Amino acid sequence: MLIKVRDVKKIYEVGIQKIEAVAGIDLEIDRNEYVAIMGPSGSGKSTFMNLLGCLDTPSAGDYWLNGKEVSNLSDDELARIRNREIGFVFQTFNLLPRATAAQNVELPLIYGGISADERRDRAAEVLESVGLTDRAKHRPNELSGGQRQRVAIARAMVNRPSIILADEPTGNLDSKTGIEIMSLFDTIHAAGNTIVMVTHEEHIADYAKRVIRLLDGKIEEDIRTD
Amino acid sequence: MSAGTTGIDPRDKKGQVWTENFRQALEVIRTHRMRSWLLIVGVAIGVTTVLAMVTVMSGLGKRIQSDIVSADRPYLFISRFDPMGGGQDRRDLLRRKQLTIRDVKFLEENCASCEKLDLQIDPQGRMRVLRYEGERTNLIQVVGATHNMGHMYSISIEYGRFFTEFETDRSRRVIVLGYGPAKDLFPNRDPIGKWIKIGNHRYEVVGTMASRESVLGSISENYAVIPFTTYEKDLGYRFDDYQIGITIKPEFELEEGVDEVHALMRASRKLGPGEVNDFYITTSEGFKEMLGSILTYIGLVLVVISSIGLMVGGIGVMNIMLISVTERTREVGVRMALGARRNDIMQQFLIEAATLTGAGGMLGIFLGLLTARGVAKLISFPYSVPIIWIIIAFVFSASIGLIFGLYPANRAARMDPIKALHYE
Ligand SMILES: Nc1ncnc2c1ncn2[C@@H]1O[C@H](COP(=O)(O)OP(=O)(O)OP(=O)(O)O)[C@@H](O)[C@H]1O
Ligand SMILES: [Mg+2]
Repeated sequence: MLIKVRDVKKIYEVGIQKIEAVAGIDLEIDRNEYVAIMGPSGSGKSTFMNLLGCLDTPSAGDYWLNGKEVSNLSDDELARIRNREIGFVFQTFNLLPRATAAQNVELPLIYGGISADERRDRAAEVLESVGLTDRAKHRPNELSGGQRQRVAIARAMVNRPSIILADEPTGNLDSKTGIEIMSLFDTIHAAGNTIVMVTHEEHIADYAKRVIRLLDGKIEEDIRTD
Repeated sequence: MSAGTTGIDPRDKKGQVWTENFRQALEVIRTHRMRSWLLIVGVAIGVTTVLAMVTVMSGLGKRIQSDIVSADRPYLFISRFDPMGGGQDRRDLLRRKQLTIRDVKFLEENCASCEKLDLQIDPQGRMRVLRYEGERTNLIQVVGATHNMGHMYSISIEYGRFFTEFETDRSRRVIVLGYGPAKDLFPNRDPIGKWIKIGNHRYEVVGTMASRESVLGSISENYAVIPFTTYEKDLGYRFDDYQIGITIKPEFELEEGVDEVHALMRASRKLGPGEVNDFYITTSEGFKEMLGSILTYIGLVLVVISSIGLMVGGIGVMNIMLISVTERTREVGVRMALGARRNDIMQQFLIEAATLTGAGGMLGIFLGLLTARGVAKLISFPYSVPIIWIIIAFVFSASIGLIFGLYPANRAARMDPIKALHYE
């Protein structure tokens, strides 16, 4: 089992109010699954993704990633897990504006301590796999939205993570570009990677092989579609 | 094992992140040219001031030392009391017997380590005007001395000669002019053999001194020397102060000379055992040391004052780094999401701050040395580049970046990655 989550909760305290953004989730995700998480706004999708991505630790419950308990790690250990096990794809791309496509892709490798030569080779390799070899030296503002998201996907892939987490990866793209990105995800999935993606759109969720619907921080429905 | 958990040497990691952070710092400086340059220039001005100050002070110090203690050979100097010593009753000291030519003669006969001796009469600030035909000097000091004075203080003669022992013994009215009065009285004429007037007495000019090109300027050149015998005859005054200068033979240590002179002086002054000295021996080395420590203190104070400029630069870097951190909140979030540890982020901003102030430091070092060299040319003193101060200047300015960058960097490092990622 790649991901195993037991009764995980995330509670935010705002003033005297307690918000259960994630209100007790049990979930298992296997290697090479392709999961879409859906649900209305405020249902806790992003909060849950942040927990899965080790950007945050749960208020209660347990989380095993790759057989390792990660719910109580220190900041540095979490950073290490994020670097090696997780590839993030964001709605707003989150590329560094001053860095070229290749430099953006190299970032996780830098924090992984990979030498400059190997970084260059691996960045070139993943950029090729997303079809952007000729854009390697371009900065984000010289790229289209779809190209930027492909750079971001390349960056998420470059450290060969255990899981790719995408929070509304097509949210800022037009539908045609969104479909291009989804077919890229299909290819990545076909190559054996595990993908968990948050989306609002049914036709995007259709690409996934499993759809989990959240409501008020709980799983309402969990359907396999393959 | 998953592909993501390949073994990575943690030592390796440090190097990679460090290089990235440094590259990043240069990149930021490049993209924010205006703001970076303003800061760099600010720090540079601070460093320039400090370094120029230090360089000028150390050069000036050496020059002043060599000007005041201008002798090729170390020498002893006997006066009635310690010229710098306080605490004693001045009137009591002034009642002490004057040093006399008899003391000099006694030393000359008995002192094995003494090379040359000179008796000098210091007019204690009394000034005179020298006249020749229509020309006149400003108020200058006329001192009395023996023929050995020229040798003792390595006075270099431009025209003519110093007066001789014979002339001293006969109290001849001969005079050696300093560079200043020589120029004043004989702007375009050969001064040798001319008779000048001091008061109502006439003196034959036998020599003039070369310019000393001293930082002390005209002070060290505006005097004239006549034989002390002539001085006593013509210009003597009861408050004149007599001093003895002695050079020590090269085969003797300065300390040996001091010891011998001390013993002989007690004999010459007929001091019984237990009686306190009624004279005081200074050495040129001791004098140099004392001057050196005074100059060091002055220099230190100046450096402290001018470092305040650097503190202002520090506040500047703090301000810029706070802006930089806020502007790049999202970048911090992204880096954290991609695996940067809090220390990596901290290091990134510290390196950026230190690079800014370090660059300012290097520019300042360059400008400071340039300034110092300019000043050195202007007032002619030996321009020495104090390497240690260059290193200190660089380390210090880089540290200012580190110290004042600490708070902004820490602020960046403590960000919550989720909030940072969604910062607008
Ligand atoms: N840092 C926070 N502090 C307080 N409350 C928070 C915080 N983050 C999220 N919440 C609350 O937790 C709940 C779940 O938020 P979350 O962002 O996970 O929703 P979501 O399903 O991603 O919504 P959307 O589809 O709009 O992105 C919301 O009610 C939100 O207001
Ligand atoms: Mg969300």
